[in-house]
Amino acid sequence: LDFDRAAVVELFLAEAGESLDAMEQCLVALERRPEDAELVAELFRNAHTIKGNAASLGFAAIAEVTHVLEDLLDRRRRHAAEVTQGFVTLLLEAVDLLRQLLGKAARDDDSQAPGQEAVVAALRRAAAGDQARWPAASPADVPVPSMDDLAAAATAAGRGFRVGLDKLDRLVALGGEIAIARSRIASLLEALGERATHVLEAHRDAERLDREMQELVMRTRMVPLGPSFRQHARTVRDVALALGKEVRLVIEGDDLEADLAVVERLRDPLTHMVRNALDHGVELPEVRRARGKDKVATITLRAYYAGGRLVVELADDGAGLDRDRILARARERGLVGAAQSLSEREIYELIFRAGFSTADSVTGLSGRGIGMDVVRRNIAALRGTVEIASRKGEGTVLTIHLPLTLAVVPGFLVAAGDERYVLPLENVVECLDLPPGQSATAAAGVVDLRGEAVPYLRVGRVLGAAGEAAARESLVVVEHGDLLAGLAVDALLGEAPIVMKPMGSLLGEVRGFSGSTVLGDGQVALILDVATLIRDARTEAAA
Amino acid sequence: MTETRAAETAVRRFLTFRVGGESCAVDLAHIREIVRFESATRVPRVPDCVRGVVNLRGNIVPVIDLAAGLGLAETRVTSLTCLLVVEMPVAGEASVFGVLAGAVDQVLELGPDDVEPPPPFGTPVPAAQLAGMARSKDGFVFLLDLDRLLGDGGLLQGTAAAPVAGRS
Repeated sequence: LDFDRAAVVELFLAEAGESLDAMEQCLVALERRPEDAELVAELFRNAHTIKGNAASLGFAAIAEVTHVLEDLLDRRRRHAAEVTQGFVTLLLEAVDLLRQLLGKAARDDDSQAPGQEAVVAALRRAAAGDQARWPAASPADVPVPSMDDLAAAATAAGRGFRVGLDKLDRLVALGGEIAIARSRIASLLEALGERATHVLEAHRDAERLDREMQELVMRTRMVPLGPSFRQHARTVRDVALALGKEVRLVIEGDDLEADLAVVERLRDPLTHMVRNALDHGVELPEVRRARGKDKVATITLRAYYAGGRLVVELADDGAGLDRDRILARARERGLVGAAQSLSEREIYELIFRAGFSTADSVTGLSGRGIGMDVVRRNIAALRGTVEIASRKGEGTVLTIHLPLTLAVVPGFLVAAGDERYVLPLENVVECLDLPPGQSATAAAGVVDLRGEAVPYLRVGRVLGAAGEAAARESLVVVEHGDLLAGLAVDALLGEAPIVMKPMGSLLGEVRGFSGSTVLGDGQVALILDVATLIRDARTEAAA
Repeated sequence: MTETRAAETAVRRFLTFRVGGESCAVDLAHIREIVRFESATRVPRVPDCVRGVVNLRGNIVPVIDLAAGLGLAETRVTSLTCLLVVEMPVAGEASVFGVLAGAVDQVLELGPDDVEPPPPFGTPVPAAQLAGMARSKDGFVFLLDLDRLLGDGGLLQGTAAAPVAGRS
C-alpha cells in the first residue's frame, strides 16, 4: 500500500508542477489581457485540480492554499475582482508558495511553508473584496524551477511516460562506450586480415544496428524549448516591474527541440542574459519616448537551427552597448592598455572578460554575483559559443550557438609530439600539410590559405608536449566564430567518437580542454577546447 | 561486548607505501582498490603533482604523484609501481583519484597509542599535512592527511575551475 501511495504522490507532484507552470504563464498573460475570461477559467481549472488531488492525498497545506486561491479566482470569474498588477503579483506569490509546498510534499511533509500565513491571509482579504495591493516579490527571490519541472513539462507535451534522467544519461553513456568497444573490436579484426573477413562483416552489420539504436536513444532526450523559454516571461514581468520599465517578451521558435541537458543547462545563462537586457539594455519608458521609441520595449528570445546547430538569440531594442564606457571601465580594470586601440568588436568582447563586471555595474537584479564571463564559460561547457552585436541607440543581440546533443560526438584525433588529442569534428574545416618555410619551433605563426592570412597555433608547443615534432607537420583548420585559425600538429590520426567524460572533481575544469574521452585502445585522450585555446592566444598577443 | 567493539574501532588499519623513498600510509578505509600502474595521459597546465589521467573501467581518474608535489624525486615507473585508488571527500567534495605508490608495503594496525604527533620540522612531508607518525619494524611511517594535502591551499592550488593566472 505504501508503494502505491508513493507512486500516486509522485504522479500528483509531477502533474501539480505542470499545473503551476501553466498557471504562472496564464498569470503573466492575464496581466496583459485582463479581460480574457479563458485565462481565468484555465487558472481556476488548474487550481481546482491541485486542490482535489492534494486533499485526497492528505496534503492539507496545499489544499488550504488552493482553496482560497479558488475563492479569489471565482470572484474574478464573477467580475467582482479587478485584474491589477497587485492581483497578479499576489497570485504569482501563491504559485511560488505552492511550489515550495510541493517540495515539502515530495518529502511527505505536510507542514506549512514559511510565509504561508501571510500569503493566505492576503488571498483571503482579496477574496473578501479587499483590493489592497500586495508588495511585489523581490525578483531575486523568484525561484528557478528544477530540472524535474522541465522534464515533466517536456513529457506533458506529447504522449509518453516519465523516465529518470539518470537512466537516460546512463543509456547514452553506455551507447558511447559500446561504440568505443566496437571500434576496438573492428581494429583487432582488421588486423587479422583475410581470415576474419566474415566476422568483420558480421560485426559491421551489428554496428549499423547499434548506430540506429543510439540515434533513437538520442531522440528520446530531445525536448521542445518552449517550456524553458516561457519561464523567462515571469522573469521579464517581475524584473521590469521592479525597475519601472515596460517590456514585452516575444518568443519565437519555441517548438524546436534540443537535448534535455542542453535545454536545462542553457536556462541559467539565459536567465542572466535576460536580466542583463532588462537592467542594462532596456531604457525607462520616459527615456524611450524622448528618443522617439515605443515606450514598451521588446525583448525577443528566438531559436532556429543553422548548420546542424541550435542558435538561440536574445535581442533587445534598448540603448545598445556604450563603447566608450566599456573601454573606460576595461582600462580602469587594467584589462586594456591605455594606448591600445581596439575595434568595435573587440570592445564588445570585453564584457565577456573575467573581472569586467564590477560591483557598481552589478545591481541586485542582473548581478547574482555572476558576470558575462561566467555566462560564456557555462555556454562553452556545452560546447557552445556566445557572440554579441550591438548598435548604439538601437539595441543589443546576443547569439548563442549550441550543439543539438552532448553525448557522443564525432571527433578528430591528432598527434602532437608523443601525445594524442581529440577535437570535435564539427570544429574542423579542412586539413592540409603545413606549407614549408614555416618556423618549426614557434608556438604560433601565419599561413597563406588561398589568399587569406590564417593564424595558427603549434599544439605541441602550446601544451608542452613531449617527443619529437614530425618533419612534415599538418595543419587542421578550425572555425571559431567567424575567425579561421589553424592548429599545427604532427600527425592526423583520423576520426574517433568522443564520449565526453569529466576529469574528476579533483581537477575540475582544466583551461583549454573541455574534458576527456577514452580511445579505442583504452587510453585516455584530452579534448581540445578550440575556442579557449584561440581566445587565450588572442589575449596573449594583445597583452 | 560493548568493550570489545570500542577496542575494535579504536584500532585503525593503514596501508603503507613508498613515496619518493619514504614510507607513507593512508587509512585503508579510503582505499577502494589497488591497480597496476603503467602510464597516464599527461594533462597540460596543471601542477606537477598531477601525473595525468587514466581510464579505470570507463571512468577517468586523475593520478597524483605526491613525491613530485612534495619536492621529492618524481616517482619512476617500475614493475612495483601501483596506483592506490582513493575515494574520499576532498575540500568537502566526494572525490575519486589515484595516488602513485613506488611500491606497496603492508597493512599496519595502529591503536591510538601507536600514533604520535609529528615533530615541528624535519619530516619529508610538512608536519601540517600529516595526520601523525607511527613506527614499523623498518622505521618511521608518515600518516598522510590527503584531504589537507590535496584540499584548499594544498598541492592542487591553481587547478580546478580557476583560469590560468597571469595569462593575460
